Amino acid sequence: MSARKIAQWHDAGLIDAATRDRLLAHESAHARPLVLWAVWGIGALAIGLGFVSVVAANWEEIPGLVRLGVHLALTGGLLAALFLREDRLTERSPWATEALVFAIAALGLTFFGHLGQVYQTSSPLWQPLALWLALFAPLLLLTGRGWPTALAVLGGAVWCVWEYADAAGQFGAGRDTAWRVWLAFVMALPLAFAPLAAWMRARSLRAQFWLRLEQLAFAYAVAGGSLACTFASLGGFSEARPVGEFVAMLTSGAVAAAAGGGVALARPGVSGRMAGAIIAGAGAVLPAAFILDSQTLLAAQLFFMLWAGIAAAALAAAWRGVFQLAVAVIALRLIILSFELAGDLLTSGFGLILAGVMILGVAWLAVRVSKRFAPRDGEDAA
Amino acid sequence: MNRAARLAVTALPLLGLGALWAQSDRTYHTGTEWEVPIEGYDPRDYLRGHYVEFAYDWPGVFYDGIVPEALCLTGKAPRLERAEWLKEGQSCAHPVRADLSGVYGSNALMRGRLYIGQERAEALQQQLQNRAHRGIVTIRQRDDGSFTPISIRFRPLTPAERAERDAPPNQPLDPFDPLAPPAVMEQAP
Repeated sequence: MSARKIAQWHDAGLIDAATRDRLLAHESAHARPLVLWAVWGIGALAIGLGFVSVVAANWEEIPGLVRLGVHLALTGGLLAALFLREDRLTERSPWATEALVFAIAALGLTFFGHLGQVYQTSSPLWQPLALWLALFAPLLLLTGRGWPTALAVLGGAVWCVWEYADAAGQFGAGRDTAWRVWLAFVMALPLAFAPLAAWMRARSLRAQFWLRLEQLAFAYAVAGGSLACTFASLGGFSEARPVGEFVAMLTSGAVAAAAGGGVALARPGVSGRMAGAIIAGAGAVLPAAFILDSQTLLAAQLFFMLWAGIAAAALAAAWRGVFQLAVAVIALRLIILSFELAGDLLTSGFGLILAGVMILGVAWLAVRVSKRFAPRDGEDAA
Repeated sequence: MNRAARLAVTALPLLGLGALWAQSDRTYHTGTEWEVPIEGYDPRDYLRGHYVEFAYDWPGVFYDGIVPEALCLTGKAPRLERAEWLKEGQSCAHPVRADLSGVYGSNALMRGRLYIGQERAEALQQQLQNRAHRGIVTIRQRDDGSFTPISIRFRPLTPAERAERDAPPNQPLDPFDPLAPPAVMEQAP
């Protein structure tokens, strides 16, 4: 489309032939075939989901050994293709490699379910997930090139630790401090991918993959901090307020602080320092949220502090999108807070008008702030 | 990228899955088969597909709030005659023990599941609700107390079982039950 526009500009006498050729050369060198990428992505996702449902249907007409054999042979074939053809494939389209690696990982995950069907083994979900991570994370980390594989690694890790915590909560005998601390430590562990990704980013040809992985770990930290604030606003922590729960929150916070420090060390420069500070800050929010449990206003203020910190870091490191997101989140939380504090606002006509005016005001202010102050995008986002 | 490292990460998933397969196959095929009566049902798991869930009805074992963590099976396999609570340190030729790290935790001797195909799952679900039949699960029990359900079948109820099924619920056990009809009927003059 841009080529047609450029030709039109030339015909209208706006640009000369030399400029036209330079523009065309630039456009073709920086082409981003988004549609093609989207097709690759959708294709890989559909194949992955297809594997899951084919396995889930559990055809009994085909003997288990044959099904498992075909499944493993398919995985092996794709692995061989990846090993032998990775460079050539990547040269043609990095997204083809990405789709291949993602499909292999999906095949591997469904193999566990398939084994369970054929041999009637049923174990809590975290066990096959943990084994899958052990077997496939090295492959994903060494060959991943974009967000689908980064999401597979971090999403798999987060899913695994939450499933573990869930299973431990159901059947765990002890609910003492040591147990809570251990769970809190495990649940914060996926954050360890942040310093690893930050360290690898400057040292790898696949900078895009490590960038996405760090972003996802960053998002996990921020989501955890925000969730803790919301939890405190609703008074969700134990009413008995056991010391163990506070120590557990401190433990998660300490892991986040270590991960944040690691990011700052691994990636010198403003961007790395800011990303590290936010991860550590999100960790510090956890014990603070425990202390402010059931205090709606103070817990909301903690939430604002976290996101104001993110906005400030985004300003310093020139992450335009993150800044705008932070402003939007703060505005949304302000609106929700007003209803939390004055629940009867919606019951009278006057209250309704007041609420509407306030929502418009907050939204207007947020749009103004995010337009006026948002930094130009730096060379790398968080 | 280092070629050896690439080869290692490519081979690792294949070797790991293969080893897991071999081990699962070996475990599945060892053990003594026993037929255990069951009741109840419940379907589906999102990663592994369809299964029926059932409650074991071990002959001779009555749950009274406390669930046994180990049982001793007696009989001539696969005919299960009796199951008894197995105490710590007691010797037993055919023990079954709850896998505390499994999906059912300490309830593993009460509940179990069997993965089956989508179509058969629906048919079985209806059969499990049919009160004229008795569900029987064959389990493979190993010397260490671990066991795996391997198949499910149905048989018609025996006369004794039918009588038990048709008995009114909460039948009074006390001979001096005040609600029971009087033992001696007064004849009108």
